[in-house]
Amino acid sequence: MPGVELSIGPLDIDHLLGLAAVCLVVLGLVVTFRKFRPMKIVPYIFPSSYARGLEAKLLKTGQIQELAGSESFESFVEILSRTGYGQYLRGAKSYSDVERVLSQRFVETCQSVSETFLRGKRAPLDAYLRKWDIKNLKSVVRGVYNHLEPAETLQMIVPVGGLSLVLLQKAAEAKDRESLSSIFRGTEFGPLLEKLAVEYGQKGFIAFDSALDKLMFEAMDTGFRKVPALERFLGAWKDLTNIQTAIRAKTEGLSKEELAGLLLSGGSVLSGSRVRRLVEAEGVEEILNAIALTPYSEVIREAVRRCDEWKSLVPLDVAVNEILVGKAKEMGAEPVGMGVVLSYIIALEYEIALIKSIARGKEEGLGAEELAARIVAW
Amino acid sequence: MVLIRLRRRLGVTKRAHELLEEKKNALIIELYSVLRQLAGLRKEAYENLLKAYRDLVDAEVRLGEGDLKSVSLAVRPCPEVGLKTRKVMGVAVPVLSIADPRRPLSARGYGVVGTSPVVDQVAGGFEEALRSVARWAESEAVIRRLAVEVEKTRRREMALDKIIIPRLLESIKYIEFCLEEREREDLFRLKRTRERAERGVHAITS
Repeated sequence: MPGVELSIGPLDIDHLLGLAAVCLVVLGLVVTFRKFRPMKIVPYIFPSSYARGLEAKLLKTGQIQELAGSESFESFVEILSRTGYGQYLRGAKSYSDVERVLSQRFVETCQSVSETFLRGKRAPLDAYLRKWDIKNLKSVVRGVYNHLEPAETLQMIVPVGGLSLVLLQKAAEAKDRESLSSIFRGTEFGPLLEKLAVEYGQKGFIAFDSALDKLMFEAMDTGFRKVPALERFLGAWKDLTNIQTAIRAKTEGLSKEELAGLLLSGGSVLSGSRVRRLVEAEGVEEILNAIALTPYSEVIREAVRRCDEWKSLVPLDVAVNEILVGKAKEMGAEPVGMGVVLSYIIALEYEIALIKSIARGKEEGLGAEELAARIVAW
Repeated sequence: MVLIRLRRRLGVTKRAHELLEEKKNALIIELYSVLRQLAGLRKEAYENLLKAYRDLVDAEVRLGEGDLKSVSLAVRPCPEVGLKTRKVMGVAVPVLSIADPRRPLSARGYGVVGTSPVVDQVAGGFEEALRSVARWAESEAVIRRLAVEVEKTRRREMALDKIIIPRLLESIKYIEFCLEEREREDLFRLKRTRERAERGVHAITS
């Protein structure tokens, strides 16, 4: 009724409306924080932006085509010098120089990306980079067991994980197996090295390598936990590794028991009964049937067909890596998060591998078409 | 006596010549048998080596020099090549014995999960190439030995045929001729003696 004022005690309508608005805002904030947890992504805002910035500097398709189409190794180096790798390439005359330079770039970039994280927030990245620790350790141990000069052993390593260059150098300089084991005593690698020293004569490195690969995947299982994008990527990686291992096992005559011991658990799509079917398969065709109706089926089937045509397993290796690249890109699709950072690191790994492949191909005189069938581009 | 000895020697020499000819023929048959296989073995070894080196290039392109070198250090050495001999018509020819260098994946020495399938390709390729090169090398060595022995045998056979036997025959012929000549002389002497004796008797009686 006109002229009637609404009030509750000392509060009038304006105050009541204002109070309601404040309550709604607070409620909205509470719902938003509880549902979307934005504080979780705050530590990754800067690293993600940094990674996105670096991602923009990756080689474009045109540049890759130019590199692949170069007439000779010298013109390849000249073209590469005009890209972001140019500053590292001064004086590079051979494939080995290019490989060394690319590894250096990778190490420096990973270091700079790591430094963008707040303390304690880069566990998933460290878990992924464990892969390089495992690779480096395998190289150093093989170098020592084969009595290589330390300098020659160190050429094989890319010191980008948790194992420092100093430790790897010390290991490479080990005089014998016992001193190598003592360097890693007290670490998770110590018992494995002691076991290797005993078993090497009979089994070679096979059990040692398998144990290290298991450690690598366990580290990623732990580090990627509760990050769905990373867990999906890891699941796909395990699936693809299992498919590849099964095909290799059937081609190379491994027993079912040996194959069962090599397959990884925790795949996204291949688990339980499908993994059992991989083990029980009598040949490659049965493996392809076991993975039918999975996202990998068509690509792997086509790759196997090309392997038969080429009489080579290169198409399978290329196909598996192409699927993995796709999964890594999906991981980086979110706007902010660890997935963005890891996706960039993987993109950089593939770019460096691509450049090395082209460089080596040019040294061997491969043409653009031959190279295209052998490389995996991001 | 000398003639008897020479005739006996001729007989032995002719027999030796026959045996050498048989040996030469048997060696040639064996040589041709191995030669027929050689072309195929050489082609097989060449093709296997070509494929193995092509696979190596593919592996270097896919993995990079560093990674491939690291995996190669994990590969266990192939079994050693053993050398024995066997006799072919008395000729010692080599027999290369090598346990089948083609190994299952679990015996090569590197871990499966952490390596690329192209490594299997390269390792298998070189194992196959090693096997075929060992067979080729054995054939080549056998052919060389047999060829040398065929030549030696042929020279000996020719020596017997063209030199020793003709000399023996000549010697025998000469001795026979001398003996015949002596016989004729003896006969003539005997005749002369008889004639002289008859003339003497006749002179006495007249």
